[in-house]
Amino acid sequence: MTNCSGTRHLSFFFAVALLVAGNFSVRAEEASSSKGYVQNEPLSLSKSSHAAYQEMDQNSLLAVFPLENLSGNAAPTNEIRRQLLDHLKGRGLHILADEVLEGFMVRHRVRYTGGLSREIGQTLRGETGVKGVLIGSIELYQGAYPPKVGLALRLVSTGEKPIICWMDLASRGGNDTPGLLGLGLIRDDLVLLEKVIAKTVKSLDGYLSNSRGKDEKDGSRIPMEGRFRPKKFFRSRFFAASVAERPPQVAVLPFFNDSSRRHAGEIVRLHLLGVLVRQGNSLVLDPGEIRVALLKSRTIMEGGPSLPQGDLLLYMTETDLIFYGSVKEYQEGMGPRGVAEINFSCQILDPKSKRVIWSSISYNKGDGGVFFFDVGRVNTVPAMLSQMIEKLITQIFGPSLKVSVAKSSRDSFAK
Amino acid sequence: MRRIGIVLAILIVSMGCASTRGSIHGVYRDANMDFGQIQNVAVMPFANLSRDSNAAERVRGVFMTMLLASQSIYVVPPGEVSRGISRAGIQTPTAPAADDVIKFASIVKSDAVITGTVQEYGDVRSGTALATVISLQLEMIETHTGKVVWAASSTRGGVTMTDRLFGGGGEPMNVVTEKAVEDLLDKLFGN
Repeated sequence: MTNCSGTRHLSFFFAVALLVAGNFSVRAEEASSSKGYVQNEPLSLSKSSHAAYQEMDQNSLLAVFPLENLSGNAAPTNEIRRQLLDHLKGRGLHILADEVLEGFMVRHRVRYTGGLSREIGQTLRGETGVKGVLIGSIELYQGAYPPKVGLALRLVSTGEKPIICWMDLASRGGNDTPGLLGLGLIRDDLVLLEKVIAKTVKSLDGYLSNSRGKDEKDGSRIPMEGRFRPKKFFRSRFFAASVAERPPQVAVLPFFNDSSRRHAGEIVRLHLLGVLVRQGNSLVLDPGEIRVALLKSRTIMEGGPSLPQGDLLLYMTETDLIFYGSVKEYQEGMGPRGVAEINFSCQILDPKSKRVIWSSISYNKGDGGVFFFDVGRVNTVPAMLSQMIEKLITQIFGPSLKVSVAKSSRDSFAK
Repeated sequence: MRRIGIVLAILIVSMGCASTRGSIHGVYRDANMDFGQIQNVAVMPFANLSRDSNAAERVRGVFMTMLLASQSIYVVPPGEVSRGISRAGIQTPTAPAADDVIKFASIVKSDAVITGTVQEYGDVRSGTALATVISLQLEMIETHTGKVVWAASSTRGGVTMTDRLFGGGGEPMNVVTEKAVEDLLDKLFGN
C-alpha cells in the first residue's frame, strides 16, 4: 500500500515536472520567435524620404519578387511563394499579377531578386503602378525531423529611394514547443511553413493597416537575455557626433563568410537590417541599391571597406554609416539534440570622419546557460541571431526611440 | 612560534614577487621607445601555423576589437590595411620587411604595425583528456625606423588537472582566445 502510494506520488511529481517543462518551452519559443520589424517613422527625415512611409496602405499595389534561397540546400521556393501569395491575397492585399511581373522582369532583364535598386524600383512603379516590392529570403529550410523553417520578408518602397519600410523575420523549429509528452512537436515541414508565413503576413498586414499596436507586441518587451549581448565591443567617443545631426542613412554591406555554411553572411545582414528597420533610429537602404553601387564602382573588398571605398559609397548613396563584418561560425544543429551556434563580428565605419566608430564580437550557442528542462534553449540560428542583433543594435544606438506615429498624424503631415 | 611567523611572512612576500615577475616574463620592450606617441596602429594579417585554416583571421578579429576596446589606441580598419598592403606591394604581409613597413605606414598613416603568428589553435589531447588551447605571438614594429619595439607571446588553455579527472573538453575556443589576447594586451600596456 505504501509502495503504491509512493509510486503515485512519483508519477504525480513527474506529470507536474513535464507540464512545467512544456510551459517553459512554450515561453522560450515565444521569446525566441522574432517580432514584427516595423520601421518607425524617423524623427526628422526630409519630406521626400517621408513619402515612402505615407503612401503605403492596404490598397497599395505590391509586387512579390521570386524568393531568394539562402538556406544552403534545396527548398521548395515556388511552393513557398505560392503559399505566401495565397496568404497575402487572403488578407485582401493587392498583388501585381505574376504574368505582368514576369513580363517586366524579362523586358528589363531583372535577374537579381534579392534586392531592389532605385532604377528598377522607379521603372516598375512607372510601368505598373506598384508602390512597394516584397522581397523574401528563405534563410532556413530543413525538411528532416525536426523540421526548421526561417523566412525573411521586407517591403521596399519604389519611391525616390529604395527604403525598407517594413521587415519581418520569422523562424521556427519543429521541436520549439515539445509540450507535455511531446504532443507539441511538429513533424511536418509544411505545417511549420504555414505558421511562419501566416505570422509574417499578419505582421505586414498590421503595418499596412497601421494597426500593429493591436496585434503585435512592442519589440522592447522581448525578454532580452544578457547572454546574447556582444561579448566584446568598442564604441568610439565620436559615435554620438556621427549620428547627432539627423537620423543617419545606413548601408549594410554583405558580411564576409568565413564559416562553412553558405550564405551565412547574407543571413546575418538580413537580421541586422531587420532590427535596424524596427528600431527606427536610422534610414535603411535596401541591399539592392548597395549592390548596384558596389557593382558600378567595381568595388572588391578584402576584409571590409577601405577609406576610399567608404568615400565612394558616401558619394553614391549618401550613406552616413557603413555596417560591415564577418561571420566566423554558423552551425544549424542537426537532429533533435543538435546545437545551433553562431559567431560574428560587426564594425561601423563613419565615411565622413573616416574612422571606425563601432567594433564588436558576438557569439552564442543555443544551449548556452541552459541547465533544466531545456528552458531557454534556442533551436535555430535565425531565432538566436534575432536576439543577439537586437542586443547589438541596442548597445550601438541605445534603446529604441519608440516613435509610434498614428495614421492620422501621418495624414496631417502629408497635407 | 615567532620564527615560524617570520618564515611564513617571508614566503608570502617572495611568492608575491614571483608572480609579478612571471607576468612580464617573455616580453621584449624597447627601453628607448616612447609608447605614448603611438596613436594609430595597423594590424597585419597573422601567420597561421595551426591546423585550422581560419584561425589567423579569427584571432586577428578578436585582437583588433579588444585593442580598440581598450580605448588606448586606434586600429586602422582591415579594409584599409588590405589597401595599404596592395598599394605598398608587400609580398608577405605576415612578415613584412622594414622598408615595406615604412612604405605601408605612409599609405595608411599608422604609427606602428603589429604582426602576429598563431602557433596553436584548437583541440589538444593528452591521453584520454581533451581540451582547447591557443598559442599566439605578436610583434610591434615602429614605422619610422622599421624596428621591432615590442614582442610578446601568450598561451592559454591546455589540458588541466580538472580535465584529466572529470573530462569536459576544456573551455570554449572563443573564451580561451579572449584570455590570450587579454594577457597580451596586459603585456603591451605594461599592467
